[in-house]
Amino acid sequence: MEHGNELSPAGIAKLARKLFGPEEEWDDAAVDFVLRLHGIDPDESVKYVLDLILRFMDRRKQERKEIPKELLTVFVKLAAGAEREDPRTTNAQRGIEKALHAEPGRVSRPEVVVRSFRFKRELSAKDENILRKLQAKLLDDKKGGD
Amino acid sequence: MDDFTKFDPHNNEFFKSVFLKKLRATAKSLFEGKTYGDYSEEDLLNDTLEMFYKEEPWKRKDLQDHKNLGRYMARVMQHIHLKWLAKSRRTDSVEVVAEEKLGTNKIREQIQDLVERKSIARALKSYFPRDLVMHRLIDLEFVDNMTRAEIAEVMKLSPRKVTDLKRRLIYVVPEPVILRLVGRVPRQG
Repeated sequence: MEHGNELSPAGIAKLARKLFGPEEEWDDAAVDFVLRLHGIDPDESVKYVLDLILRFMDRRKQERKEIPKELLTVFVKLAAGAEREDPRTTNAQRGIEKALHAEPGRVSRPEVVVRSFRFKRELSAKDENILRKLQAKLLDDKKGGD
Repeated sequence: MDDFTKFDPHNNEFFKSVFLKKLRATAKSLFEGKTYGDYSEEDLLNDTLEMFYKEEPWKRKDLQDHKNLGRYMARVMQHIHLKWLAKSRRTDSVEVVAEEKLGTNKIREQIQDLVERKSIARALKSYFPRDLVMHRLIDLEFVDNMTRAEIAEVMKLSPRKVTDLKRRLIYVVPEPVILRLVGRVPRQG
């Protein structure tokens, strides 16, 4: 259905196929135009693809799978050229760069990467330290009580 | 972005060209604004990315060319989408149902054609941000389907100036797109 003078996403999809054939046959010019039909600026910031990669990394992290090295390189390159307000990108980028240049044998690279992608909902080192001290105190108290 | 032919998995240009553009446009086209439970266009992109690193198609000799690889990934995405279609119950949005109710009579076709022309014009205008003269020319040319003389009269320009504006349009908008659009919107007179 059309909203006033605008095509619905289904209408745009039909029009795009009429103009350029099936999706797999679209060349770069056609893809740019289809995105414009959807009201998307094809040259907009790379924020969208960075978010896609971050989501992908997050999913892999949760599944405890390794993040492909090729993707890390791509992410670093894209993030280097992107102006992002989201501090996750800067933190993630820093973590990845460190991981990629880590001394072999000291710590496994995937492990470093996984650690660098910790979000705020996870405990910081400071919080972990506090909990460790509390744990020790409780164990001491328990021993004293026994 | 076809300035490289052989695929390099470390090349971020491939990501811009394929994952930011081609597969994003493909996902939009496949979803057609419909919903499949909580499965979104972004999920489809994510699953395609997952498949990309699982299968490592760039190691296949026939897919080392960037264009072939892009085409292959679009097919992979279609395949994942079809699997989802089979799995989940499709929920058509109200919009689509209403569109179907309009029927297929001639008036509907004319309305559809006009709306398509307007969408094309809007997309073309995005190549010329804030250029009101070009926007007017695009409307007259692609929505109202006017001849050069008619456009010149309406815009109070010389026919020569209209030709210059059209040349600019052809220069800025990629040729494959213009050729398709001109073929679709036949000139009168």
